[in-house]
Amino acid sequence: MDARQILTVPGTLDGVRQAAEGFDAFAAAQGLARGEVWPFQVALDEVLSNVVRHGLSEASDPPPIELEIHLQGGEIELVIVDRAPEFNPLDVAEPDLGQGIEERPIGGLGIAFVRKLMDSVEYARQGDRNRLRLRRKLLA
Amino acid sequence: MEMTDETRDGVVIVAPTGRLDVNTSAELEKRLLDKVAAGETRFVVDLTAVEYISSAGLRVLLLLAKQLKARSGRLVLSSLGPAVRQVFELAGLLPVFAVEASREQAMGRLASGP
Repeated sequence: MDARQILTVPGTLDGVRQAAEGFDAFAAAQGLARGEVWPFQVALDEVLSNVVRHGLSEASDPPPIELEIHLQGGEIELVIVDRAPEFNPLDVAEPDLGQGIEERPIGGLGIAFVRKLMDSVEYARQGDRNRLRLRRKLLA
Repeated sequence: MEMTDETRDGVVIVAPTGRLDVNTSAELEKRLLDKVAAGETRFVVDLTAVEYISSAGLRVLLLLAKQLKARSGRLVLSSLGPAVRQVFELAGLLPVFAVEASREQAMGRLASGP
């Protein structure tokens, strides 16, 4: 099984929705089980919502985000390229998950999820772009 | 997003469906907080039909729990599927919420509790 799809979506929350729908359509076309794809769906939502709400929130005309989905060798690879200011999510400290509900800050979990759900997360700054590469093996 | 809600025996039961992500969570937040603002204090959120939940969805449920706690109300979550449960586990949130296996059990917990 080898399939590749490239999607370009607006750098807005509606673009995040379009990316989610695009990924779902790809997964359905490849016959991937729902139990296999949710980690990618969650990771995609975390990464893209971060880019849109923090990276591009100042932009009056936010540049589009490019998403590449690649299924090969029993692994899915997601490559997300945005033109927000330089931001390496791997530099963000892990949140303290031991805190009680009263002390727990709202937010800050997303990047921890991406790191836990994916087998590999690689970041590179290329020119004016952030490039994040996420990979995870499928179970089957 | 598709969402059903009803009020039974003074308990608001909300059942979101599909993705609980950054976009749909905003709708869920508005729906839930409107009910809190209207004076409702006992809630069941039935997650049976949720395919997956991201941190945006967890944030809304935490926010609801905090607001209800401040009003001496209660939130019980029910019917977490495997994908949803794993996200709660990753976040260390299962012990934070009252969680029941079914909507009826969640209703029972609210009927018997304070």
